Amino acid sequence: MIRVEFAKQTLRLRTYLLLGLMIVIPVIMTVALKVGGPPSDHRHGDFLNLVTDSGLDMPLAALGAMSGMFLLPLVVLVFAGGAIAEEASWGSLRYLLLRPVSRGRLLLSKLAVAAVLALVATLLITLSALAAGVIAFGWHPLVTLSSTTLPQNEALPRLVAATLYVAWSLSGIIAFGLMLSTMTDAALGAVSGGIGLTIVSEILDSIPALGGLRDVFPTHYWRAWEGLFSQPAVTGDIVHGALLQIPYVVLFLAAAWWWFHRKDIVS
Amino acid sequence: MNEGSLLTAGDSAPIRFTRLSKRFGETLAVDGLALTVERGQVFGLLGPNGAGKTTVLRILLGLVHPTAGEAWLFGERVRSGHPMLRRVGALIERPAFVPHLSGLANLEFYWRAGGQEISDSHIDEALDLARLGNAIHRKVRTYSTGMLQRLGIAQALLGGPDLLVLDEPTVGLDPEEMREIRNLVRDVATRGATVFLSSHILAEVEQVCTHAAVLDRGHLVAVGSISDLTGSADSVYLEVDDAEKAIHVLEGIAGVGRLVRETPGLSLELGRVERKAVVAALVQAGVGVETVTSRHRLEDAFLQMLEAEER
Repeated sequence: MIRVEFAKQTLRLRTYLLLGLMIVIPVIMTVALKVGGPPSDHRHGDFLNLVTDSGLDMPLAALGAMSGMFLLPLVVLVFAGGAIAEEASWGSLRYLLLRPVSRGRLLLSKLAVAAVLALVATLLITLSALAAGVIAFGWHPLVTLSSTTLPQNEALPRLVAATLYVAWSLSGIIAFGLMLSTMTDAALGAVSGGIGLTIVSEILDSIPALGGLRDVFPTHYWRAWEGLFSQPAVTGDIVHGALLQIPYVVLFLAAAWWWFHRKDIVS
Repeated sequence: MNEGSLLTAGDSAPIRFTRLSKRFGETLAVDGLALTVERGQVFGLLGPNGAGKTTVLRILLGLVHPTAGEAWLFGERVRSGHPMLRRVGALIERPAFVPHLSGLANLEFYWRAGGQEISDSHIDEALDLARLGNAIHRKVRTYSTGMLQRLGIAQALLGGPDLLVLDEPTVGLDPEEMREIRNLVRDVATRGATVFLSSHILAEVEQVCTHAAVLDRGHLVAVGSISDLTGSADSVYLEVDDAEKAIHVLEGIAGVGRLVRETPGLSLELGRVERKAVVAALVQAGVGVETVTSRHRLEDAFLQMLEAEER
């Protein structure tokens, strides 16, 4: 079942276009920085300012930009939000469900495919940016946000950890997108709903008056991985952020499960 | 094919509905349906659009949850994903496929998604039936309606199912293709499988089915074997020059059953009275008889239902 669901996505041009974006955009960013130099408004704490000193900083700039500008969440939500809703809109959902396979298994297969594609998308950003960054700016020790340097052998494991953290941070909205996907026949609706949740969470998160309430917004700790690249490393928020995804994943998946099982398939 | 599973089918009827009801919001789509389809029957579910046929089929396959009552497949209560669905092939409403995959990939994925080996699917036989030639390697989104329909039927026949469920199988086909589908249904029945099909076309059901039920707004109007349903001409449709007078005359004949105005004519159940006696009585009374058509029960039930719908 999972293999079939994977094959459906890997035999599809769209999958490659979306994943291709994850490769192309970091390259474009690198070329732009190489040609135009770092941003002139020299803000502290932005990897974009540091990449010209070391190619190892390029993946960090790319990860920050791709998730901060919602492109990575959008791509991931296309995979998750389309999972069930697309089959419903094609009409093929009824044929999938009249097979001797439980709805729970179909849902899990769809989730697994969306999760793996999300992980691949995030890894591609890091790999593409790392390759482009090293070519453009050289294989130097990573420059941290505290303007100290990290030797390559210490920087690379942290880069892997940061990438995995970014991917895991998306799990809440993936579960949300999958839940919406069971509720609608319009994949676009499920994708938009997921983006809506992300944006609302970001907007509310930027209102200091909300105080401690902000700590439970699903995107609140999205940038916590940057703590790995200051001196000394700050990891407390990473743990909070990783744990915070769990209740969201459980809640949204339980809702998806419940809804999908009681749903009448009339598409 | 599939003799093994046919033998294990035992005495359990392929399909049984017990007091089945389904409500969608305000609408009662299926209302207390009780029906059994025995093995080897080609069973037609006849009714106009909106009669609840598709809902009945969807409930049978576990796609829609009944509000009350139960649906049974080979003696097992239906639920989504039940292993018994392995023995069923179906075409529901219209064929539907993953558009960016080829016809062949769609059939293979459909089969493998059920956890079954492609070697058990008899896919070559299905492909012969689909007659798509090299188009089977093209993306499904490029297919015409007829090609989709043939691929859909091929998909339903994968693995040689013991029960074939077809929802309006000839819709959108040209007469030649319709004839092929009818032959195919007969072939499937010949090898011992059961066929349950829905249709809104009376002639189609009469031609291919051994048994039929008429469904009207969710409940059963008539059910039986085709020979029972069509054997006796037990009512007659008349067109006369003076309907009022004709009704007056007919009501005077002892033994005549229900009289129904079916503009431009009228129909009556003959009861014990012979058709020629009715015509003679009308002519004697000076009513001009323009048309006399015999009707059997299936036609009667179906046409009266359509008539009622128009009112």
